[in-house]
Amino acid sequence: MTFRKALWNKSNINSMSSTDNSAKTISGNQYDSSEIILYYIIVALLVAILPLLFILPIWIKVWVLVMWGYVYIGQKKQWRLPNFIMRHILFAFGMICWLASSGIRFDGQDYMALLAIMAGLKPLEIQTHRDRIIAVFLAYFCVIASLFTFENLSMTLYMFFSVFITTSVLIKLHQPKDGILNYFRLSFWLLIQSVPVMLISFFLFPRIQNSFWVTGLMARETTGFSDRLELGKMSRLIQREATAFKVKFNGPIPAPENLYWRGIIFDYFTGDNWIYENSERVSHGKIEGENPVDYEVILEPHGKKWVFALDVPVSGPNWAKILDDHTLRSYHNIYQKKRFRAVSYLSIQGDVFQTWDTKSLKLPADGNPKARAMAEELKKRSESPDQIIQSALDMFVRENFVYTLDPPMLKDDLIDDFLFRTRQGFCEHYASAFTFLMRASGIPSRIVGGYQGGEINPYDQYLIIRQSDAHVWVEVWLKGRGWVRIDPTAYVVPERIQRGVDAVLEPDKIYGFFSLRRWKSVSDFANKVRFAWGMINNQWEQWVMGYSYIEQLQLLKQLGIQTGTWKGAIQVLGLACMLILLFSAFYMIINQSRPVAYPEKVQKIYLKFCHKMAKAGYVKSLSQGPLDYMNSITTEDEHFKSKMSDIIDHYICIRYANRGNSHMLKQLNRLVSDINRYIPKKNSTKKSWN
Amino acid sequence: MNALPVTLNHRNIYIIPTRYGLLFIVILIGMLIGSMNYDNNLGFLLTFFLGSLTLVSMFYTHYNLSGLTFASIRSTSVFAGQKAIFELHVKMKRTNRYSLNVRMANGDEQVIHILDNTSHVIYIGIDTQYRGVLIPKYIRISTVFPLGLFWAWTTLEIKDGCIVYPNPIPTEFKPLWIQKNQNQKDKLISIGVDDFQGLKSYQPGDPLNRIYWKGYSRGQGLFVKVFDGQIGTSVILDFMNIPDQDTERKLSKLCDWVQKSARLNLAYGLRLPDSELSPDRGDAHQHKCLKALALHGLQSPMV
Repeated sequence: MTFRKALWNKSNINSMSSTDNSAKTISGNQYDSSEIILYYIIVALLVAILPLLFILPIWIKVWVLVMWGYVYIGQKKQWRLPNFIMRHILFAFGMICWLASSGIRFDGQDYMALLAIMAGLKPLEIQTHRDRIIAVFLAYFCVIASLFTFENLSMTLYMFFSVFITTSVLIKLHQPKDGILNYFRLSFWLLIQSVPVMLISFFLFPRIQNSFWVTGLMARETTGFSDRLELGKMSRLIQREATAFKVKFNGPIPAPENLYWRGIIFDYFTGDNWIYENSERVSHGKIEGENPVDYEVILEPHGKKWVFALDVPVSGPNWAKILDDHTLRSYHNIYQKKRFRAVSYLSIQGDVFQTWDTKSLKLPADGNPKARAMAEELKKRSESPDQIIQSALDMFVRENFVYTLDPPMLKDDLIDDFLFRTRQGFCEHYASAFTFLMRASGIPSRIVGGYQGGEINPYDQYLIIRQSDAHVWVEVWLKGRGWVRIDPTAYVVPERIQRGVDAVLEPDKIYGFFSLRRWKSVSDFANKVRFAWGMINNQWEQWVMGYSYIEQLQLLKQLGIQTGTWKGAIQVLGLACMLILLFSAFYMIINQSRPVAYPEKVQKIYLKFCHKMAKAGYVKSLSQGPLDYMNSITTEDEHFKSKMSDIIDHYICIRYANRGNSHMLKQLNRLVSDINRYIPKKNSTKKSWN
Repeated sequence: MNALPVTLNHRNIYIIPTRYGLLFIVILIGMLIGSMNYDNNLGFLLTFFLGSLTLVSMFYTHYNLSGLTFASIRSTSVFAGQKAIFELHVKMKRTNRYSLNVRMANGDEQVIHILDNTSHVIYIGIDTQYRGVLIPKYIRISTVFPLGLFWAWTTLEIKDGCIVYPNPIPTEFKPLWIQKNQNQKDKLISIGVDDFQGLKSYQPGDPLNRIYWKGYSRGQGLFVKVFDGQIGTSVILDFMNIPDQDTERKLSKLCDWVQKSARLNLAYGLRLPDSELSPDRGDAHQHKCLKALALHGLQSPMV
């Protein structure tokens, strides 16, 4: 970094840049003396960093905007730029704020914050050509940083846009004397021509299956389930519209009441929370069942190891294991979008589930006396576990329990408070209370966390499961039948299971004001737009985002390349190089043979013109050049005259002055095509007599 | 090094990444490693997009030079100490050449944009110090347009240098006057130019620079100043006749005499130790004389 003191002063800046020896050839007085360039750079940085600003803490937003605002206004008002010492103080101040706010944790977001701090400072010290270039590179870097944060189609489109803007500014740095539209045009063509090689590289660059090092670096704010179920906390999850995962079925879509997406088992009850216990025993027994469902899942990153699959999964991706509680578990935390195929049985032979653990009966030693008493009573009154279950469920229906995402706070003995006082809650309240009752009355039971339902996009038949579809339900162990799914929420509000959470609650209770989903009921059109956009997004995810090691293998197989061997690797490399060379050669040929004077074309049009004129009686003698020819034609018709001289001017300009371009050629062609309308009729009438 | 005329194509244009280009490539490699590590397809996409952009910009940089024809280079002679200006004539099939950096070895450097004409003259200067023939080592045409990631250049060889006359040192004008005698051989006399004799009325054909303008402005009519030595109007400027020891200074003073003779519209001849030019008038003759002075005693080929 070079810090130099300077005023907002043209000559000063120029003399500065000339001291930078290396930049001599491409900077300094000859190149760019306007301060406008700084505005361009600020715009490029702003466009590049904009998506990041949304997720960064407020003080970073203020930091960046204040710095850039100062530079922007300062240029106009001739303010002094902060000098060497001042800039270092600012830098140190920014660093301290950064360290303080990151808490020396350093996850992905903190690096973004650091990037933003530097991007904020950079325009303050732009004096030389080098500084400008570095600032533009910084903008490119911001673009990629935001890609690691957002992974959807809109972000990708925005990426292309900000690369476009940044490239325009980079062109501006090297070609200052031109109109802004020309930068955009050139930038556009550069980028368009970059697409072929980009695609070749993207599809043929060897993908690997695993990371080189731990991926914890990019830990980000996770949305989705955590490893504990705190009563009342899940409603925040339900209020999120974000997609959790998407599913494409290879076959008919199962009925809504079967769409239980299993992810986590909450086994251990502390009295306040249900906790996932990390006892990952891999399932060994072979599962047999009916109604196999084959489907593909695109799982959004959530930072945990949960892998959601339709109840009950029997095969999943190779990067996840199937546990004996019939959930899938990834070997690594999921920070990237994952795409996988899985098969599930909608119903299975219960005998396989003979096992249950004592932990499925375990409750805290004391607490919730009323609930325990109630369980005792249920047990006494009933003859079989089935009856206990039934009467507990009946109780939920009978006692006017209310389904709401905004339940009153529970106090002290949470289960008692819910069962006997508030009686308002959502799935986790019902599941907790029900499981508590079951365990207290001696029936092994556990809470299953996941999602329920989903929304079908009619355009491409993708089932979209959002965070708002998050759900917990209960499994009880019954002799001879194994683990049986019981969803107490379904007894309280059957619509929740049939038609999703939207059916139960007012949309504005669930979503933010600006959410498209909120306006679902307002217009059908918005809905269509939403689904169409969703479809494009899905296609994008399937073909671009989901492209990975396996897809590459398939692609190469289709191209006839044997993977996994040295020969194959060399073939891939050769293919990529060949394609890129081919493109380059093509590109060079295009460049070399770009027509400039269009001698043949312009001649052809001219001859057509002469032919038309001859038909009307104005024959050109062989010795006449275009100007002589025009002068030889005597006519009173001013309109005709001017059209004719237009044509001759164009022709001379393109043919002889060597100044032709395709635009002029087109214009000439149009003029000649139109000339018939202007040729006076007298000669042609004479001709008709002959 | 390309001798003129030359048309630039892939055989004579060289191209390498600039240091910013290298930095950019390093950044891209970093991005690629990041993308591989996080298996982030969008990262891959952007990395390859920018990589591809780099590749395409290389073609553009090349294309910005390619097709230029440097037809000729020419310069007008100058006196030592002045700036020699070379005119480089460029022709091209298509225009819109941006940010061409033209640099002459040890000389000036400038950036030009050619946006409309298919032929163009580039003027580029170089400071001169000594008399003789100045042949700059090369002219380099380079460009980093459009993205500054690649630097394409070509060098042109200059064969016809610029003749640099000696720097004139003002000195008293005392040439040998040629006295025309009818029967005898011409006789040389040494008189100062200042030997003013009187005025005679103007006749058409009299040199303009000897008109007595002061009198004319006073309304006394047109008169011409007559000098004592003006028996003939021919002089010989002799190297041996310069009162100085140093050859260079002598040449400089002779240079001054040549200029003065020309100004006085005399027919002047030049006599150097190894060559002699017979008296004559006119710009061509003046150039001949000055060139003879410029090249006196030098090994350089006569141009």
